[in-house]
Amino acid sequence: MRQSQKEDESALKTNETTIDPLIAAGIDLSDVTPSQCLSLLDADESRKELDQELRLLQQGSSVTAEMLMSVIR
Amino acid sequence: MTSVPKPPVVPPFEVHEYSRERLFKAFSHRLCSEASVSESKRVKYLCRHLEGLFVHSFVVENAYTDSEYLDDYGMFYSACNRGYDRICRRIHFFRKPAHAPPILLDEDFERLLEDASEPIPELFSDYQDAYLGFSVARPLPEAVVGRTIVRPWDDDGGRRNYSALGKHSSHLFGITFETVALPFQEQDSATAACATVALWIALEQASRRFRSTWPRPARITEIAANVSETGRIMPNGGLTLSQVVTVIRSAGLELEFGNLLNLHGNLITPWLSFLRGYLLGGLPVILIVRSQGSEDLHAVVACGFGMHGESKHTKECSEQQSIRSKGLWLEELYIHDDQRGPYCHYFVEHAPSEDMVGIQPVLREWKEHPPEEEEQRVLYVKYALVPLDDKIRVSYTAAYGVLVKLGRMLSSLTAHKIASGAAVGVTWDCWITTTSDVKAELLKRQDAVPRYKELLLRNLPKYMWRAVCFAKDCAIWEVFLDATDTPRSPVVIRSVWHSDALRQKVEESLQDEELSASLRKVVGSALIEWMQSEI
Repeated sequence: MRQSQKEDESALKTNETTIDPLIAAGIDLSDVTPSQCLSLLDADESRKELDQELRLLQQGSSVTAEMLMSVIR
Repeated sequence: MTSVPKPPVVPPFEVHEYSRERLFKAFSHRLCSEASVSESKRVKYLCRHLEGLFVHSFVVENAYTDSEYLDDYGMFYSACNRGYDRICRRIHFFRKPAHAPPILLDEDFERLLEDASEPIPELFSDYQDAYLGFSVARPLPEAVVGRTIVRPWDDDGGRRNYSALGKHSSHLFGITFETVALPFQEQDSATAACATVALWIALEQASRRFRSTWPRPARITEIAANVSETGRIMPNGGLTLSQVVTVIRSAGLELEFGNLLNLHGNLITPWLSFLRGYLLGGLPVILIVRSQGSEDLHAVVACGFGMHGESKHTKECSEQQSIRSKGLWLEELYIHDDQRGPYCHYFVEHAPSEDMVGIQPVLREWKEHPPEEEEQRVLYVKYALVPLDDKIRVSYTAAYGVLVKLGRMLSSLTAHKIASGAAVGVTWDCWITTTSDVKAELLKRQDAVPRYKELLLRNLPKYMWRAVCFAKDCAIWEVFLDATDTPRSPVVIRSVWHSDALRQKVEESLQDEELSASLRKVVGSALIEWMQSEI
């Protein structure tokens, strides 16, 4: 199972430069504080959204008897 | 006394400069005229594909015993009243060699055969580069395109990715040529329907990866007969999904099944990421589709994808997704469609779902209007199937679910600055891989990334999902998931921080007890504890 060479290179692009890839991408986390994160985190709402997304993913893996009987020609 | 006329002497080979008419003639035989061959969509598609590879000439092996067809012959055609031939023709395609003389005449090929006794390496490497593959011409009415091993089009500067191919050797009068390809053949509707052919294609590649068995089409149909269903087995009118599953299991494999749509016809599986995750790992994906204007289900096999260097789609699910994946960059899929041909180029689109609330996945053969002589083929994708080693227990969708949780953690720990919807959105990529492939790469790059050395020396699972989080096009975090584990475990093994700034911020945020406690309510304790061990 080989990933393409191009992808491999892309994955490791950051290590060939001295600039942190996050800063190179224009994302500055220096002013982020734990209290700011906490004030933005609504745990109950976040849990609800996560559950809904995971439920849909699980639904996508389920097979019904009707599907199993459908003829592919 | 009248003498019995002798059959014409057929030479062992013929060489022709390529033209569609000459190729139609090479595919024709006593049960299928040149005019009938010229109407075959599969032969015409093959011509189009070969022309895209700059085919210049072809060599016809006039008597070729094809093992796939021999099974079909033994199980079906030998019992027909009409006398079907047992022997096929095999047509080998060449483009113009870069330096060596082209093979345009019988004498050119005779000279090549003579030179082959004491081959000049440069000359033969030139002919090897010029070899495009072969197609077996079956002596059947209409379904003349037998086993076909031809190269795909070039990678267009890396835009096209064909990871799900394997190396095939073909022997032409003692000369060995190699082709990197995925086998193709058209259904004959007697021993094989489209689902049989799709299984035959996907199981070939799976047998390379997982050392499983590779049943021939007639045998696939025979195995499917073990599942009690209505309808004849031969002539074969199609397989049920249940029979498809039975065949995959009988080859010693398991499968991941992706049901792309919910009851309302809305897309619920991140299908492009799913495809990318398996194709990058070298595994073709069987797609069950419905073609426009038909109520029947049809099976095709995706073996590659084309993408541009940016996100082509805004979403790949009807519902809001909390992470963006590189699957959204997919613009084209390359598909073996036995109603069309090998490596058919289909554009990836989304259409409104049946209830007009969400979206559904669509593959369109031509981006806009097709050329005058062509018809627009549109496929609505319903299911995706991947034959897998039974040691791969964590499915793509389960791995994706872990990434959704990790994405949410990163977002929460960075005040949503590392999130899909942020000003500089991050993108995830995730694909199936093996320890040996990962370690081969880590070995080469251990000096650049010190953490790779530690991973290199660790005992890792045979199969892993490798996920990389990118900011713009630079990797900032990389996570390895154990694909052999139970889905109830966190499955995360190790991560590699490519951004120190991110690692430091995550560490600082996780040290805050109140924030950690809140986050535990969202993603669970196991992932938080793992993350704490990783910083």
